[in-house]
Amino acid sequence: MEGCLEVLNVGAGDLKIEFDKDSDAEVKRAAEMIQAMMKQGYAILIEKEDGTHERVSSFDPKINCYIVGDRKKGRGKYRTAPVRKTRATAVARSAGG
Amino acid sequence: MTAPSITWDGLRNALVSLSVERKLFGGIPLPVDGLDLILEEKRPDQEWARFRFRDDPRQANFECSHEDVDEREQIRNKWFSHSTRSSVWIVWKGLPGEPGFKVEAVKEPWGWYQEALGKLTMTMDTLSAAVGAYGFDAEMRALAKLAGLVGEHRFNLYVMTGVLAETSKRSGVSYLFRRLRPTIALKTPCDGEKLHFLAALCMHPIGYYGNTWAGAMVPTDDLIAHLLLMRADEHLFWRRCNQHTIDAKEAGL
Repeated sequence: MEGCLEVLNVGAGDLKIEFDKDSDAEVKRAAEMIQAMMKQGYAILIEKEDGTHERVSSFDPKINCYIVGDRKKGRGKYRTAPVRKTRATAVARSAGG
Repeated sequence: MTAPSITWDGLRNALVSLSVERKLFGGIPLPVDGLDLILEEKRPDQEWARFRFRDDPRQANFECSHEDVDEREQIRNKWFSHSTRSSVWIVWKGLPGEPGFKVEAVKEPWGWYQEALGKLTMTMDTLSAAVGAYGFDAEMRALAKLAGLVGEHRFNLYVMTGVLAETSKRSGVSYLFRRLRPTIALKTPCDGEKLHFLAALCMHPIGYYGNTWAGAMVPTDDLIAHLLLMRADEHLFWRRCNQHTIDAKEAGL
């Protein structure tokens, strides 16, 4: 699976960020955006290989992986998903409705 | 030589560029003439919610006199009372701790006609928001994304009816995701039980237009946000939604 991050966006439709597997600079830029989005309260939802989805709880820029679950609870309680191989969608915080 | 005319598409594209520059990844919603734009409260660009077009009677700058506004009176809360079929407003007169401070409850009864009119107004305002705020290309892109998430048959049904149904394997709750209307959550029958309405779930990431069902994103992107949040984290989905009752105007039923 090729990695990409789609951000649901008001203006242009989805903002799509595709990760060039061969460009570390691209991955670094994307990692900065992901961290900024999570700080702004975006929910990042990743697609698993079986087609189901789960929410990312944090992001590790050292290994460029999404973290699902709680790392503080130890091994087996979380898993990592590398950005280069994961399809993700980012959803902003709600304004209400 | 005449100046080039500004189009909605041109304005939308300009806001896209500005949003990238300001690291507002979800974009900057387009204000719509005559409608309040409500933004997610922690966004740094709240000035867009105060923007008014030149001919908008609700101008941002208004000179108050001492006679028309009593700044010591404020509406503190408002809800709809189902038992009395009225809107209830809680008004503070004066400031807490000061002499003469009072809290008053003001009721505005709604008959069946007013309720129907309220829904009709909301429908027409939603249409107005769509005319101004939405780009056709953006909606087409969202439809393409949705097609990849739900399969051909259900996608065709959505295009034809504006409704997508899905049952959560986790909770057993069935959801009717609707274009430009809140998502309906239903408890599905089991062993002879009746179908049970749980709530109308309303959530607009980034922003929405006041007194409408229109979010700041195109309708199918709003629906995708509901669908994916439900699939990935159902608890968070319910926490982020406003939950309306079946008879509330906001439920869109």
